[in-house]
Amino acid sequence: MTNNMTINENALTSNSVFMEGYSNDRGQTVMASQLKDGAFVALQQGGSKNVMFAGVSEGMSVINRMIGVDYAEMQELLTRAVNNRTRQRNFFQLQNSLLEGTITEEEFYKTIEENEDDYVVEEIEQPTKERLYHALYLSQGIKDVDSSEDISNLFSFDSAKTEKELEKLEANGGL
Amino acid sequence: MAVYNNIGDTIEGEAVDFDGRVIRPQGAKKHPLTNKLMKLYTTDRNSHAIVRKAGVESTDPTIKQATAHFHRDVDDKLTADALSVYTDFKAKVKVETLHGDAASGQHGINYSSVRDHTISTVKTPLQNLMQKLGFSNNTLTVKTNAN
Repeated sequence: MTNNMTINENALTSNSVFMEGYSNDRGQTVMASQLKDGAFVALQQGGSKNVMFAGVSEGMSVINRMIGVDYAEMQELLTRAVNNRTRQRNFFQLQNSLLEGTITEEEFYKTIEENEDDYVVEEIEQPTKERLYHALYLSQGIKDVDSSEDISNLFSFDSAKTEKELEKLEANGGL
Repeated sequence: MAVYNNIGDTIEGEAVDFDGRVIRPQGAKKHPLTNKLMKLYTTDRNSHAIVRKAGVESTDPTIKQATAHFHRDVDDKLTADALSVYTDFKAKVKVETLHGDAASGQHGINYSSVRDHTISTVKTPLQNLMQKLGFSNNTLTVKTNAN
C-alpha cells in the first residue's frame, strides 16, 4: 500500500491547515481542512469525478466561501476600489490640464461639479464587520492603504462606521 | 488651545497648518459630516494639524449638531500617526518638503499651510491592526501547494 500525505498552509483562508492523502489500494483521495472558522473533509473515489464532503461552519462563513458568495463580494469590493482610484486619476488628469493651461480654473471646477460621478469619491455604504474584514484582506495587495481614511475612501465606506467596526475587529483580534 | 490625539478628534479652521512624514493628495470627496465638496489629503506618521484662524460653526441646524464635537479655537491641535485633512475645494494647497538631518537621524517632513476652510480628523493607522489580524501590509502573499 502506498500513501502520500501533504500538509500546507492555505493563505487564502489565513491560519487554515490543509491535508491531503492518497491511497493506491483503495484508489481514494481524502482531503481534510481545518479552517479558522470551521473544518471539512472530502473524499474522491478513484475514477470518479464526484467529490463527497462534509464539514462544520461557524455561521455561514465556510459555506459562503464554498458557494462563491465571498468571491462575488470580493469581486464587487475590488471593482469599487478600481473605480474610486479611476475617479482620483480623472481628478488629477483634470488638475494637470489646469496646470498646463489647457483649461481655465472656471472650467476645472465646472467640469467636476457637473460630472461628480466621474471625479468625486462618495461614501455609499455602512460596512458590517465582515465587509470591513474582507476589505482589509484585499487591501494587503493594494498600494498606499495606511489608515482608516484610506479604507473608507477606497471602498466608499462611511468613515464613522468604519472606525467603529475597526475598533471591534481590533478588540476581537478578528471576526 | 488644546492638543487632541484620540481617534475621531477633529479640528476646523479658516486657516490650518498641517504636516506629516507623508502627505498624499486623494482627490475630491464630500466631507462625511458636512456633505461639502472638498479636496482630501491624508497624512502618515508623525502628523500634526493646528488651527491658525478660528473655525466658524455652521448655521444649518443639522450640520451644527453633527459637528458639535469639532474644536475650532486658534492653536487647537491634533497629533497622531494618521490624519485626514479636508480643504476647501478651491483652496491653494502647496506641500513643501523639509529635508531631515542624516547626521542626527532626523526624518524629513512634509508641510502645508492652508489659508482656507479646512477640517482635519484623527484616523486609525492600519499597520498594527493588520498585524493583529494576521494580515501583512501591502504585500499579498498567496502560498500555493508546491505539489
